[in-house]
Amino acid sequence: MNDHRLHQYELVYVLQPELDDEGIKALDERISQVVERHGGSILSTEPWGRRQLAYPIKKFMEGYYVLHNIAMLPEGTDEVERVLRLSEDVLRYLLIRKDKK
Amino acid sequence: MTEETNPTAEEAATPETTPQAAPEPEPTPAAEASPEKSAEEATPEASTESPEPEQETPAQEEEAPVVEGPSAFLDSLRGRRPRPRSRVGQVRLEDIDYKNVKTLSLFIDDRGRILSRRKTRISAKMQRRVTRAIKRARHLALLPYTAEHIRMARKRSGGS
Repeated sequence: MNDHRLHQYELVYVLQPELDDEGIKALDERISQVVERHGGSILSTEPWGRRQLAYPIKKFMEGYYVLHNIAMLPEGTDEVERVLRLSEDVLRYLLIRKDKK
Repeated sequence: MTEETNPTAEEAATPETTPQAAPEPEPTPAAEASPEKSAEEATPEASTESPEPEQETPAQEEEAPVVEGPSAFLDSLRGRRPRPRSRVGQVRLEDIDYKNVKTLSLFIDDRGRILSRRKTRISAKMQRRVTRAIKRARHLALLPYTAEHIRMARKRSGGS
């Protein structure tokens, strides 16, 4: 069942706190599509919610954090990052490989 | 020190009243001057006199070992200052994660700087992991980069 070509990733991103639920979901959708297009799936979603930032980003002192566990082919990495980078609502993101150290 | 020597009127009075008054006063002022002398003079006198020495001798014997004082203890450390135990020793490998702000904050100083192995006393492997995790956490604004950031955060929470 587990395709050994799929890699395990952890994706965290910080959204601007003013974003409404619609916007959050929309972004989520876009990410899911990319992931699925590259043979993967979102294994879990963990919204941390609003959190105070250790330093201001784009004048914001708070951010909306979301964590995903994703299984995907490595080719999808670039596109996922592109979606996040181009989004104006995403203040920071981090996509790391979970299975290898 | 001065506790044992002439603390109460009784002890001062007794030597004067007894015939042993003459030799007696000697150890007492001597004890005030230096504890060593009192120890030496108290012991021989303990054998000759009965009532007071019982009070004084044990008191003065206590004095003798205390002679050393703080300097001797510091010498025995040989230049190593005893450091307070930090909780860094109990951290497990799997606890090291950029998401684990609470654990990671043990490895930064009050200005947000990453502590060296000299301070943290952890293995090279752990230190590498910790550093990587801290840098990731900083990127995600989970940890600050500079002291200025900490100041800003403190101001925002109203000086908790």
